[in-house]
Amino acid sequence: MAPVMNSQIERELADWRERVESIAPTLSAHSAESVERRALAPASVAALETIEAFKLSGPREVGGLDAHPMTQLEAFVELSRADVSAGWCTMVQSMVAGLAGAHLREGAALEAAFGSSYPRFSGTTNPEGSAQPVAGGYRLNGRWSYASGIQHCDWVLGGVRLLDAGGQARLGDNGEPLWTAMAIPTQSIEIEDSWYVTGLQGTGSPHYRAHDLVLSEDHEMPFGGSVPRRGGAWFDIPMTTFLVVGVAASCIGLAERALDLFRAHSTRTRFSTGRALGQRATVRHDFSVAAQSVAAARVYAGHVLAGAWDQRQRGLPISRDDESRIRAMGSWVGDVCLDAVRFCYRALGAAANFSDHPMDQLNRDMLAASNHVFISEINYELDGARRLAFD
Amino acid sequence: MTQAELNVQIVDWHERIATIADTLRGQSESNEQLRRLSPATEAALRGVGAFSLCSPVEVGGVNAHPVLQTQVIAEITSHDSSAGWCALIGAHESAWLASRLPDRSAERIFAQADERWPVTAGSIAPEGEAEQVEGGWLVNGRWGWASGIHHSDYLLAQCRIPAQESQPGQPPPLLLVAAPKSDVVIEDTWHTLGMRGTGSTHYRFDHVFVPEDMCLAGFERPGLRGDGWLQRPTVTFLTAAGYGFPLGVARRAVEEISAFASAHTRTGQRASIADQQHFQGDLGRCVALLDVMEGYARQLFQELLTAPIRSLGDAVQMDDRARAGLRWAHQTAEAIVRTAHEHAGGPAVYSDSVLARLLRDIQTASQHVIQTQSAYIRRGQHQLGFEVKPGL
Repeated sequence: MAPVMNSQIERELADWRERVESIAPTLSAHSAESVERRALAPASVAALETIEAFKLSGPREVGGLDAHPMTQLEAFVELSRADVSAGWCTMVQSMVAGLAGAHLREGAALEAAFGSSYPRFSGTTNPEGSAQPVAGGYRLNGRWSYASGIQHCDWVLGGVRLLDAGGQARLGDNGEPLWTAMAIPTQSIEIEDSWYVTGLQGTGSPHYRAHDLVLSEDHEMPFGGSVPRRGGAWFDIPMTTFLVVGVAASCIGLAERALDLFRAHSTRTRFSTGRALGQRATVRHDFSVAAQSVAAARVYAGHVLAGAWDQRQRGLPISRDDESRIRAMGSWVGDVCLDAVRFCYRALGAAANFSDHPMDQLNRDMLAASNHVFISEINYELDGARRLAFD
Repeated sequence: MTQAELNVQIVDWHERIATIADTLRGQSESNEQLRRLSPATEAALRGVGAFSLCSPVEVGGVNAHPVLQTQVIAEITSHDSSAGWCALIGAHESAWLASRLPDRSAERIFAQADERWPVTAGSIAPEGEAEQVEGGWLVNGRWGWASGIHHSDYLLAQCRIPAQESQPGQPPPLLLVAAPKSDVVIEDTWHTLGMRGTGSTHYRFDHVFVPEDMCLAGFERPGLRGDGWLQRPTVTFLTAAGYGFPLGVARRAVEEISAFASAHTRTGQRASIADQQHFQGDLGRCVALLDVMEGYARQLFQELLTAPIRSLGDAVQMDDRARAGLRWAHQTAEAIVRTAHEHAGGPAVYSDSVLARLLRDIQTASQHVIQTQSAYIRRGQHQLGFEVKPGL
């Protein structure tokens, strides 16, 4: 049964459409600047702050907005449609801040991060570092990657393997290494200049590292199976479910921007045919398929997320079956969007080859986005296994 | 040529290219940074005679069997796609210079070819204008896509002739000219997604005087010298070496992901990429597609080499068949590269990833006008019995 939208959520959605619309021209105007800087343009960051975009996915107890996942999806889609880099950074920061706000224990770190104003958070929970207990906390070492927007963030997360006092890996009851995440002030880490990539250059997602950094215990942010300390029902879901919203939305916004752009260029004539793109039957056919597919992906993503939200409101957990289905939805949305952007790029012809053509940038961004682990093809395998009743 | 003789040549060229493989692979990043071939890459290609691959024997060229052309370009491309692309473009355009210049200028320009092959670049799109003056033509115009221009010796330029009116029912008169590189202006416009190392930038003829003997025989008539593959219709002629590019890209993608998969585990997974059954299946499909690409090339170009051409209609049909084959090869290669790129995950996002470069390159090369969707449309029109006019 399709989930029912109540009027409160509809108002929230309408409010966010207006908010994004109010800054979309600014974001679009600074799109090229972000790509050139390989980091989000300051004017875009400021614009996003004015509409409180970084608070979208955070718990209300720490100043977040705890928006309905449909609202998050739609806001991230429209932000990406205005500027892919801005949309991407917003979804990463909003969601990482949401994780931190929900899972950080009470203490000095929480107060430092969320006490005076809502923080800008980035980083990864991949356990690419280590945390060794020392007097008063942990000693951190590690090198992490994909910290989108880190240049304008106050905090980062860093996933770590837990070590014992002797430096050996701590193992859980199942014999697997234990890992957690730490909230780290950005000023105490080193940001590398490593973000040289095919696409998503404007997101500024370089490596960062910590060397023998000592942090108090309250910087630890246990998650992944642990019950969140704050936030509504939507925070008590698997991390991947929480995060897949953002990556799927970014892909949809990116693809819709490509379709918009193609439409604007449809009067262009290719040297080989002498006819406008939009006059050719094959182009019309393929454009329709691409546009229908992206529209369907947007509706389907919203349907799946709204269903999961309803489930949580009724007190039902997000099961492993649900989680696999939601992750596979993200992969499918990514694939649909990749195909649509590929069509737009290819059909525009050789003019789109040059780096100053906006379709070139969208194609690059889509290639990079499609390799994000949250929408990888592995999700299909997991979903298929669950659907076929294999664990 | 017998199959045994062809096989001997293929082995000979394989060994020849193997001597420059390390150089080509080692210079890939340098080519990307320079946005043109590095001097070491150029020297390696000149050293094995790659640019003479398609030219008539009469001027010192190889005039290779089309199957050999495919294999040579595929091997070079598998080591470095920019080098492969520049080799194929340089070989084709040199062949036009060698086969279509009048005897006197051809003898002069190719007299020292064994010491330095006169590599040629440029566009045959009619983007410029020629005005007849005493002893030759005054040429003005701006063209794009001059792959390899930086290491080339001569530039081609296709021109309209405003002073001459079109004959009823005939295309407008065109003039194909050549000029030493020193006569032209090279622009710095090659900032692209892929094929970065090919230096395929714009160039201009600004009031360049071209003597009469540097005007080439137009494409509406056969070349003046060379037999075999050189006598096939113009578009068909381009497709054998052209097919080597996607084939080489696909080979390298399979090689790269096969090595990468065993050494890498994706985030959240316990087993390496190679241990994932889904990957194994996808890789198997890619290898099967690669086998089909290899086999199709051999059959297609052997057939096109010997197929009779009794009319203009036969020539048009042959061109469209060759183009459709080339488009299919590019699409198949892209599917292989995309699969490999997807399985590599996050590391393939970085610019210096070989798989990232291959995906950028195959997507950019696929935009080439010769392998657009019209190739399939025209092939379909032939199949339906429609009358198909010459063109793209």
